Amino acid sequence: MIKNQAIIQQIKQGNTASFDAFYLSLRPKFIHWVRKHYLKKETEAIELFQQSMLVVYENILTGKLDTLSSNLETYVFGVAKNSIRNANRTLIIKEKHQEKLTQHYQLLSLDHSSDNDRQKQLIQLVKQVLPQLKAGCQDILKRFYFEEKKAKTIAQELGLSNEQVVRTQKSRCLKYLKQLLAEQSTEMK
Amino acid sequence: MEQEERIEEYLKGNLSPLKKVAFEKELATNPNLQRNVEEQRAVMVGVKEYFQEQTLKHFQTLEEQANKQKKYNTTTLIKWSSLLVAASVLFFLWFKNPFQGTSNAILYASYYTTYPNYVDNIERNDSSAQTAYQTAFFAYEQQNYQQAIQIFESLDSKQDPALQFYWGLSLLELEQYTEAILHLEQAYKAPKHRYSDNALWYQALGYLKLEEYKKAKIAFQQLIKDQSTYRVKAADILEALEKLNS
Repeated sequence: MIKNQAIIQQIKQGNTASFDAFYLSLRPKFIHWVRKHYLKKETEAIELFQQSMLVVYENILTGKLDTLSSNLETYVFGVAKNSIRNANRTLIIKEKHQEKLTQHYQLLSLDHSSDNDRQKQLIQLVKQVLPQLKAGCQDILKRFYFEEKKAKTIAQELGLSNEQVVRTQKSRCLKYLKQLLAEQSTEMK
Repeated sequence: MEQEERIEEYLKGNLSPLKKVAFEKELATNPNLQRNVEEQRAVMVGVKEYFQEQTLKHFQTLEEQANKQKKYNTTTLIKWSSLLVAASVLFFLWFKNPFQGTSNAILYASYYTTYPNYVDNIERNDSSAQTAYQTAFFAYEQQNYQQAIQIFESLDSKQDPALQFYWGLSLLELEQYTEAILHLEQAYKAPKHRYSDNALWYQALGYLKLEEYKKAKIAFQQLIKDQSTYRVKAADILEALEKLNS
Protein backbone atom coordinates (compact mmCIF):
# COMPACT_ATOMS: atom_id res chain seq x y z
CA MET A 1 0.00 0.00 0.00
CA ILE A 2 3.04 2.27 -0.14
CA LYS A 3 2.02 3.56 -3.55
CA ASN A 4 -1.50 4.33 -2.33
CA GLN A 5 -0.24 6.26 0.63
CA ALA A 6 2.20 8.12 -1.60
CA ILE A 7 -0.69 9.24 -3.83
CA ILE A 8 -2.79 10.18 -0.81
CA GLN A 9 0.02 12.25 0.68
CA GLN A 10 0.70 13.97 -2.64
CA ILE A 11 -2.96 14.92 -2.97
CA LYS A 12 -3.04 16.17 0.60
CA GLN A 13 -0.07 18.38 -0.19
CA GLY A 14 -2.07 19.95 -3.00
CA ASN A 15 -0.58 17.99 -5.89
CA THR A 16 -3.68 17.85 -8.09
CA ALA A 17 -1.76 16.35 -11.02
CA SER A 18 -1.41 13.14 -9.10
CA PHE A 19 -5.17 12.99 -8.48
CA ASP A 20 -5.86 13.85 -12.15
CA ALA A 21 -3.66 10.95 -13.25
CA PHE A 22 -5.50 8.63 -10.87
CA TYR A 23 -8.86 9.91 -12.17
CA LEU A 24 -7.93 9.36 -15.82
CA SER A 25 -6.41 5.93 -15.27
CA LEU A 26 -9.36 4.59 -13.29
CA ARG A 27 -12.13 6.14 -15.41
CA PRO A 28 -12.41 3.55 -18.25
CA LYS A 29 -12.37 0.57 -15.87
CA PHE A 30 -14.92 2.16 -13.56
CA ILE A 31 -17.34 3.15 -16.33
CA HIS A 32 -17.12 -0.30 -17.88
CA TRP A 33 -17.83 -1.92 -14.50
CA VAL A 34 -20.80 0.34 -13.68
CA ARG A 35 -22.35 -0.09 -17.10
CA LYS A 36 -21.94 -3.83 -16.94
CA HIS A 37 -23.41 -4.29 -13.47
CA TYR A 38 -25.66 -1.34 -12.65
CA LEU A 39 -26.31 1.49 -15.07
CA LYS A 40 -26.80 1.32 -18.79
CA LYS A 41 -26.25 4.95 -19.74
CA GLU A 42 -22.71 6.26 -20.04
CA THR A 43 -23.71 9.72 -18.76
CA GLU A 44 -25.08 8.17 -15.56
CA ALA A 45 -21.94 6.12 -15.14
CA ILE A 46 -19.76 9.23 -15.55
CA GLU A 47 -21.90 11.10 -13.03
CA LEU A 48 -21.53 8.29 -10.50
CA PHE A 49 -17.80 8.18 -11.14
CA GLN A 50 -17.46 11.92 -10.52
CA GLN A 51 -19.55 11.78 -7.36
CA SER A 52 -17.51 8.85 -6.04
CA MET A 53 -14.24 10.56 -6.90
CA LEU A 54 -15.43 13.72 -5.15
CA VAL A 55 -16.13 11.71 -1.98
CA VAL A 56 -12.71 10.10 -2.23
CA TYR A 57 -11.03 13.45 -2.86
CA GLU A 58 -12.72 15.02 0.16
CA ASN A 59 -11.92 12.03 2.33
CA ILE A 60 -8.28 12.25 1.34
CA LEU A 61 -8.15 15.97 2.12
CA THR A 62 -9.89 15.58 5.46
CA GLY A 63 -7.45 12.86 6.48
CA LYS A 64 -10.04 10.06 6.56
CA LEU A 65 -7.89 7.88 4.34
CA ASP A 66 -4.62 8.39 6.17
CA THR A 67 -4.75 4.85 7.50
CA LEU A 68 -6.44 3.25 4.49
CA SER A 69 -5.52 -0.41 4.45
CA SER A 70 -7.16 -1.37 1.15
CA ASN A 71 -6.27 -0.30 -2.36
CA LEU A 72 -7.37 3.25 -3.29
CA GLU A 73 -8.99 1.91 -6.45
CA THR A 74 -10.97 -0.65 -4.44
CA TYR A 75 -12.02 2.14 -2.14
CA VAL A 76 -13.49 4.16 -5.05
CA PHE A 77 -15.49 1.12 -6.16
CA GLY A 78 -16.67 0.67 -2.57
CA VAL A 79 -17.87 4.27 -2.40
CA ALA A 80 -19.80 3.80 -5.65
CA LYS A 81 -21.39 0.56 -4.42
CA ASN A 82 -22.50 2.27 -1.22
CA SER A 83 -23.91 5.16 -3.17
CA ILE A 84 -25.93 2.81 -5.40
CA ARG A 85 -27.11 0.81 -2.38
CA ASN A 86 -28.18 3.98 -0.54
CA ALA A 87 -30.01 5.31 -3.57
CA ASN A 88 -31.90 2.03 -3.92
CA ARG A 89 -32.69 1.91 -0.22
CA THR A 90 -34.02 5.48 -0.25
CA LEU A 91 -36.18 4.62 -3.23
CA ILE A 92 -37.64 1.54 -1.50
CA ILE A 93 -38.34 3.44 1.72
CA LYS A 94 -39.93 6.27 -0.22
CA GLU A 95 -42.21 3.91 -2.10
CA LYS A 96 -43.12 2.03 1.10
CA HIS A 97 -43.98 5.11 3.12
CA GLN A 98 -45.02 7.52 0.43
CA GLU A 99 -48.24 8.54 2.14
CA LYS A 100 -46.70 9.15 5.54
CA LEU A 101 -43.79 10.99 3.97
CA THR A 102 -46.08 13.36 2.08
CA GLN A 103 -47.84 14.21 5.32
CA HIS A 104 -44.50 14.67 7.05
CA TYR A 105 -43.17 16.98 4.36
CA GLN A 106 -46.37 19.02 4.44
CA LEU A 107 -45.97 19.45 8.16
CA LEU A 108 -42.37 20.40 7.77
CA SER A 109 -43.11 22.92 5.08
CA LEU A 110 -45.71 24.58 7.28
CA ASP A 111 -43.31 24.87 10.15
CA HIS A 112 -39.96 25.67 8.59
CA SER A 113 -40.34 26.47 4.93
CA SER A 114 -39.46 30.12 5.31
CA ASP A 115 -36.44 29.28 7.49
CA ASN A 116 -35.22 26.73 4.98
CA ASP A 117 -35.66 29.07 2.06
CA ARG A 118 -33.77 31.79 3.84
CA GLN A 119 -30.95 29.39 4.69
CA LYS A 120 -30.76 28.17 1.09
CA GLN A 121 -30.69 31.74 -0.17
CA LEU A 122 -27.91 32.59 2.24
CA ILE A 123 -25.87 29.57 1.12
CA GLN A 124 -26.28 30.64 -2.49
CA LEU A 125 -25.18 34.12 -1.56
CA VAL A 126 -22.04 32.75 0.13
CA LYS A 127 -21.16 30.85 -3.04
CA GLN A 128 -21.75 34.00 -5.05
CA VAL A 129 -19.55 36.32 -2.98
CA LEU A 130 -16.78 33.86 -2.15
CA PRO A 131 -14.86 34.47 -5.41
CA GLN A 132 -14.73 38.17 -4.48
CA LEU A 133 -12.45 37.37 -1.55
CA LYS A 134 -8.70 37.57 -2.00
CA ALA A 135 -6.98 34.29 -2.87
CA GLY A 136 -5.43 34.06 0.58
CA CYS A 137 -8.83 34.29 2.25
CA GLN A 138 -10.39 31.78 -0.13
CA ASP A 139 -7.53 29.42 0.61
CA ILE A 140 -7.83 29.66 4.38
CA LEU A 141 -11.61 29.17 4.33
CA LYS A 142 -11.16 26.23 1.96
CA ARG A 143 -8.72 24.61 4.37
CA PHE A 144 -11.08 25.14 7.31
CA TYR A 145 -14.46 24.26 5.82
CA PHE A 146 -13.79 22.11 2.74
CA GLU A 147 -10.73 20.25 3.91
CA GLU A 148 -11.97 20.39 7.54
CA LYS A 149 -8.51 20.98 8.90
CA LYS A 150 -7.67 22.26 12.36
CA ALA A 151 -5.92 25.59 12.90
CA LYS A 152 -2.82 23.80 14.13
CA THR A 153 -2.53 21.69 10.95
CA ILE A 154 -3.09 24.71 8.72
CA ALA A 155 -0.41 26.65 10.60
CA GLN A 156 2.03 23.80 10.03
CA GLU A 157 1.15 23.58 6.35
CA LEU A 158 1.61 27.31 5.88
CA GLY A 159 4.84 27.32 7.86
CA LEU A 160 3.44 29.53 10.61
CA SER A 161 4.78 29.06 14.09
CA ASN A 162 1.57 30.04 15.83
CA GLU A 163 -1.92 28.68 15.15
CA GLN A 164 -3.36 31.87 16.62
CA VAL A 165 -2.18 33.69 13.50
CA VAL A 166 -4.31 31.35 11.42
CA ARG A 167 -7.33 31.87 13.64
CA THR A 168 -6.97 35.65 13.42
CA GLN A 169 -6.61 35.43 9.66
CA LYS A 170 -9.72 33.24 9.40
CA SER A 171 -11.68 35.61 11.60
CA ARG A 172 -10.72 38.55 9.40
CA CYS A 173 -11.74 36.66 6.27
CA LEU A 174 -15.07 35.69 7.79
CA LYS A 175 -15.69 39.27 8.78
CA TYR A 176 -15.03 40.42 5.24
CA LEU A 177 -17.19 37.63 3.81
CA LYS A 178 -20.07 38.57 6.09
CA GLN A 179 -19.69 42.21 5.10
CA LEU A 180 -20.06 41.18 1.47
CA LEU A 181 -23.09 39.08 2.38
CA ALA A 182 -24.69 42.04 4.12
CA GLU A 183 -24.01 44.32 1.15
CA GLN A 184 -25.43 41.78 -1.25
CA SER A 185 -28.52 41.22 0.90
CA THR A 186 -29.16 44.98 1.02
CA GLU A 187 -28.84 45.19 -2.75
CA MET A 188 -31.29 42.34 -3.19
CA LYS A 189 -33.86 44.04 -0.96
CA MET B 1 -13.76 35.71 17.97
CA GLU B 2 -14.68 33.64 21.01
CA GLN B 3 -18.37 33.79 20.14
CA GLU B 4 -17.52 32.84 16.54
CA GLU B 5 -15.63 29.76 17.68
CA ARG B 6 -18.36 28.76 20.09
CA ILE B 7 -20.93 28.90 17.28
CA GLU B 8 -18.67 26.85 15.05
CA GLU B 9 -18.08 24.21 17.69
CA TYR B 10 -21.84 24.05 18.25
CA LEU B 11 -22.52 23.58 14.53
CA LYS B 12 -19.84 20.91 14.27
CA GLY B 13 -21.41 19.11 17.25
CA ASN B 14 -18.23 19.49 19.30
CA LEU B 15 -19.70 21.11 22.42
CA SER B 16 -19.93 19.05 25.59
CA PRO B 17 -23.53 18.13 26.56
CA LEU B 18 -23.52 20.70 29.34
CA LYS B 19 -22.22 23.49 27.12
CA LYS B 20 -24.65 22.48 24.40
CA VAL B 21 -27.66 22.83 26.70
CA ALA B 22 -26.47 26.22 27.84
CA PHE B 23 -25.88 27.32 24.28
CA GLU B 24 -29.29 26.20 23.07
CA LYS B 25 -30.95 27.91 26.00
CA GLU B 26 -29.33 31.16 25.03
CA LEU B 27 -30.10 30.55 21.36
CA ALA B 28 -33.82 30.22 22.06
CA THR B 29 -34.02 33.70 23.51
CA ASN B 30 -31.33 35.63 21.68
CA PRO B 31 -32.30 36.74 18.13
CA ASN B 32 -28.85 38.12 17.54
CA LEU B 33 -27.26 34.75 18.28
CA GLN B 34 -29.89 33.05 16.10
CA ARG B 35 -28.89 35.29 13.19
CA ASN B 36 -25.19 34.64 13.76
CA VAL B 37 -25.71 30.87 13.91
CA GLU B 38 -27.75 30.94 10.72
CA GLU B 39 -25.09 33.00 8.99
CA GLN B 40 -22.21 30.84 10.20
CA ARG B 41 -24.02 27.66 9.08
CA ALA B 42 -24.55 29.19 5.64
CA VAL B 43 -20.85 30.11 5.45
CA MET B 44 -19.71 26.60 6.39
CA VAL B 45 -22.10 24.87 4.00
CA GLY B 46 -21.63 27.48 1.27
CA VAL B 47 -17.82 27.27 1.30
CA LYS B 48 -17.94 23.48 1.25
CA GLU B 49 -20.45 23.39 -1.63
CA TYR B 50 -18.51 26.05 -3.55
CA PHE B 51 -15.31 24.00 -3.50
CA GLN B 52 -17.21 20.79 -4.25
CA GLU B 53 -18.61 22.49 -7.35
CA GLN B 54 -15.14 23.72 -8.29
CA THR B 55 -13.81 20.15 -8.01
CA LEU B 56 -16.64 18.84 -10.18
CA LYS B 57 -15.88 21.54 -12.75
CA HIS B 58 -12.29 20.37 -12.76
CA PHE B 59 -13.49 16.77 -13.27
CA GLN B 60 -15.38 18.06 -16.30
CA THR B 61 -12.14 19.29 -17.85
CA LEU B 62 -10.65 15.86 -17.16
CA GLU B 63 -13.64 14.35 -18.97
CA GLU B 64 -12.84 16.47 -22.02
CA GLN B 65 -9.27 15.22 -21.83
CA ALA B 66 -10.48 11.62 -21.55
CA ASN B 67 -12.81 12.07 -24.52
CA LYS B 68 -10.00 13.51 -26.64
CA GLN B 69 -7.88 10.49 -25.76
CA LYS B 70 -10.78 8.16 -26.60
CA LYS B 71 -11.25 9.90 -29.96
CA TYR B 72 -7.54 9.58 -30.68
CA ASN B 73 -7.59 5.88 -29.78
CA THR B 74 -10.59 5.29 -32.06
CA THR B 75 -8.83 7.08 -34.93
CA THR B 76 -5.71 5.02 -34.33
CA LEU B 77 -7.84 1.87 -34.29
CA ILE B 78 -9.47 2.88 -37.58
CA LYS B 79 -6.02 3.58 -39.06
CA TRP B 80 -4.76 0.18 -37.99
CA SER B 81 -7.96 -1.48 -39.22
CA SER B 82 -7.49 0.16 -42.61
CA LEU B 83 -3.92 -1.05 -42.63
CA LEU B 84 -5.08 -4.55 -41.79
CA VAL B 85 -7.63 -4.43 -44.61
CA ALA B 86 -4.91 -3.27 -46.98
CA ALA B 87 -2.65 -6.04 -45.75
CA SER B 88 -5.41 -8.60 -46.29
CA VAL B 89 -5.93 -7.37 -49.84
CA LEU B 90 -2.20 -7.63 -50.35
CA PHE B 91 -2.14 -11.16 -48.98
CA PHE B 92 -5.02 -12.09 -51.27
CA LEU B 93 -3.20 -10.62 -54.24
CA TRP B 94 -0.04 -12.61 -53.50
CA PHE B 95 -2.01 -15.71 -54.23
CA LYS B 96 -4.16 -14.37 -56.99
CA ASN B 97 -1.75 -12.08 -58.78
CA PRO B 98 1.69 -13.28 -59.75
CA PHE B 99 2.67 -9.87 -61.07
CA GLN B 100 5.03 -8.36 -58.57
CA GLY B 101 4.62 -4.80 -59.81
CA THR B 102 0.93 -4.68 -58.93
CA SER B 103 1.61 -6.03 -55.45
CA ASN B 104 4.33 -3.46 -54.91
CA ALA B 105 1.97 -0.67 -55.84
CA ILE B 106 -0.42 -1.95 -53.19
CA LEU B 107 2.38 -2.32 -50.68
CA TYR B 108 3.40 1.27 -51.37
CA ALA B 109 -0.18 2.52 -51.10
CA SER B 110 -0.66 0.65 -47.82
CA TYR B 111 2.25 2.36 -46.15
CA TYR B 112 2.44 5.74 -47.80
CA THR B 113 0.86 8.62 -45.91
CA THR B 114 1.24 12.32 -46.58
CA TYR B 115 3.71 13.73 -44.09
CA PRO B 116 2.42 16.79 -42.22
CA ASN B 117 4.18 20.14 -42.16
CA TYR B 118 6.05 20.54 -38.90
CA VAL B 119 8.46 23.19 -40.04
CA ASP B 120 6.70 26.45 -39.69
CA ASN B 121 3.42 27.04 -37.95
CA ILE B 122 2.88 30.51 -39.29
CA GLU B 123 0.07 32.90 -38.46
CA ARG B 124 -2.39 32.49 -41.26
CA ASN B 125 -3.79 36.03 -41.01
CA ASP B 126 -0.50 37.73 -41.58
CA SER B 127 0.29 36.53 -45.08
CA SER B 128 2.13 39.72 -46.07
CA ALA B 129 4.77 39.12 -43.41
CA GLN B 130 5.56 35.63 -44.67
CA THR B 131 8.98 34.97 -46.02
CA ALA B 132 9.38 32.91 -49.20
CA TYR B 133 10.53 30.03 -46.97
CA GLN B 134 7.30 30.20 -44.94
CA THR B 135 5.20 30.53 -48.10
CA ALA B 136 6.73 27.34 -49.47
CA PHE B 137 5.78 25.36 -46.39
CA PHE B 138 2.37 26.95 -46.33
CA ALA B 139 1.88 25.86 -49.95
CA TYR B 140 2.93 22.33 -48.96
CA GLU B 141 0.44 22.35 -46.11
CA GLN B 142 -2.26 23.47 -48.53
CA GLN B 143 -1.30 20.54 -50.82
CA ASN B 144 -0.15 23.02 -53.39
CA TYR B 145 2.94 20.93 -54.15
CA GLN B 146 3.77 22.48 -57.51
CA GLN B 147 3.98 25.92 -55.98
CA ALA B 148 5.98 24.59 -53.03
CA ILE B 149 8.53 23.05 -55.41
CA GLN B 150 8.85 26.27 -57.41
CA ILE B 151 9.61 28.23 -54.26
CA PHE B 152 12.02 25.58 -52.96
CA GLU B 153 13.90 25.88 -56.26
CA SER B 154 14.16 29.65 -55.95
CA LEU B 155 15.50 29.68 -52.39
CA ASP B 156 19.16 30.16 -51.48
CA SER B 157 19.02 27.84 -48.49
CA LYS B 158 18.92 24.74 -50.66
CA GLN B 159 21.26 22.87 -48.34
CA ASP B 160 18.75 23.04 -45.52
CA PRO B 161 17.84 19.38 -44.83
CA ALA B 162 14.26 20.27 -43.85
CA LEU B 163 13.85 22.04 -47.18
CA GLN B 164 15.32 19.08 -49.05
CA PHE B 165 13.04 16.70 -47.19
CA TYR B 166 9.83 18.59 -47.97
CA TRP B 167 11.00 19.18 -51.52
CA GLY B 168 11.35 15.41 -51.89
CA LEU B 169 7.96 14.86 -50.29
CA SER B 170 6.31 17.36 -52.66
CA LEU B 171 7.80 15.45 -55.59
CA LEU B 172 6.57 12.13 -54.16
CA GLU B 173 3.08 13.61 -53.92
CA LEU B 174 3.33 14.53 -57.60
CA GLU B 175 4.54 11.00 -58.36
CA GLN B 176 7.95 12.19 -59.59
CA TYR B 177 9.74 9.40 -57.74
CA THR B 178 13.25 9.51 -59.24
CA GLU B 179 13.66 13.19 -58.56
CA ALA B 180 12.04 12.84 -55.16
CA ILE B 181 14.57 10.21 -54.12
CA LEU B 182 17.46 12.56 -54.97
CA HIS B 183 16.19 15.23 -52.57
CA LEU B 184 15.29 12.71 -49.87
CA GLU B 185 18.77 11.23 -50.15
CA GLN B 186 20.35 14.66 -49.68
CA ALA B 187 18.14 15.22 -46.65
CA TYR B 188 19.16 11.86 -45.19
CA LYS B 189 22.85 12.35 -45.84
CA ALA B 190 22.96 15.68 -44.03
CA PRO B 191 24.25 15.55 -40.42
CA LYS B 192 21.60 13.94 -38.19
CA HIS B 193 18.50 16.15 -37.90
CA ARG B 194 14.87 15.66 -36.87
CA TYR B 195 13.81 14.46 -40.34
CA SER B 196 16.67 12.02 -40.96
CA ASP B 197 14.62 8.88 -40.26
CA ASN B 198 11.64 10.21 -42.16
CA ALA B 199 13.80 11.03 -45.17
CA LEU B 200 15.13 7.47 -45.29
CA TRP B 201 11.64 5.98 -44.87
CA TYR B 202 10.18 7.97 -47.75
CA GLN B 203 13.25 7.30 -49.84
CA ALA B 204 12.75 3.55 -49.28
CA LEU B 205 9.10 3.87 -50.25
CA GLY B 206 10.18 5.70 -53.40
CA TYR B 207 12.49 2.82 -54.34
CA LEU B 208 9.69 0.40 -53.67
CA LYS B 209 7.41 2.31 -56.00
CA LEU B 210 10.12 2.31 -58.67
CA GLU B 211 10.57 -1.44 -58.10
CA GLU B 212 14.21 -0.94 -57.20
CA TYR B 213 14.03 -3.72 -54.64
CA LYS B 214 17.71 -3.95 -53.72
CA LYS B 215 17.91 -0.28 -52.83
CA ALA B 216 14.54 -0.42 -51.09
CA LYS B 217 15.69 -3.41 -49.05
CA ILE B 218 18.91 -1.68 -47.98
CA ALA B 219 17.00 1.38 -46.90
CA PHE B 220 14.41 -0.62 -44.92
CA GLN B 221 17.19 -2.64 -43.27
CA GLN B 222 18.97 0.57 -42.33
CA LEU B 223 15.79 1.83 -40.64
CA ILE B 224 15.68 -1.34 -38.53
CA LYS B 225 19.37 -1.06 -37.71
CA ASP B 226 18.96 2.60 -36.69
CA GLN B 227 16.13 1.59 -34.31
CA SER B 228 13.98 4.09 -36.16
CA THR B 229 10.31 4.60 -35.28
CA TYR B 230 9.60 3.09 -38.70
CA ARG B 231 11.42 -0.15 -37.85
CA VAL B 232 8.28 -2.28 -37.33
CA LYS B 233 6.76 -1.13 -40.60
CA ALA B 234 10.09 -1.63 -42.36
CA ALA B 235 10.30 -5.21 -41.05
CA ASP B 236 6.75 -5.90 -42.25
CA ILE B 237 7.56 -4.63 -45.73
CA LEU B 238 10.79 -6.65 -45.87
CA GLU B 239 8.84 -9.76 -44.93
CA ALA B 240 6.29 -9.03 -47.64
CA LEU B 241 9.09 -8.49 -50.18
CA GLU B 242 10.64 -11.81 -49.20
CA LYS B 243 7.36 -13.56 -49.92
CA LEU B 244 7.00 -11.77 -53.24
CA ASN B 245 10.43 -12.94 -54.33
CA SER B 246 10.06 -16.51 -53.16
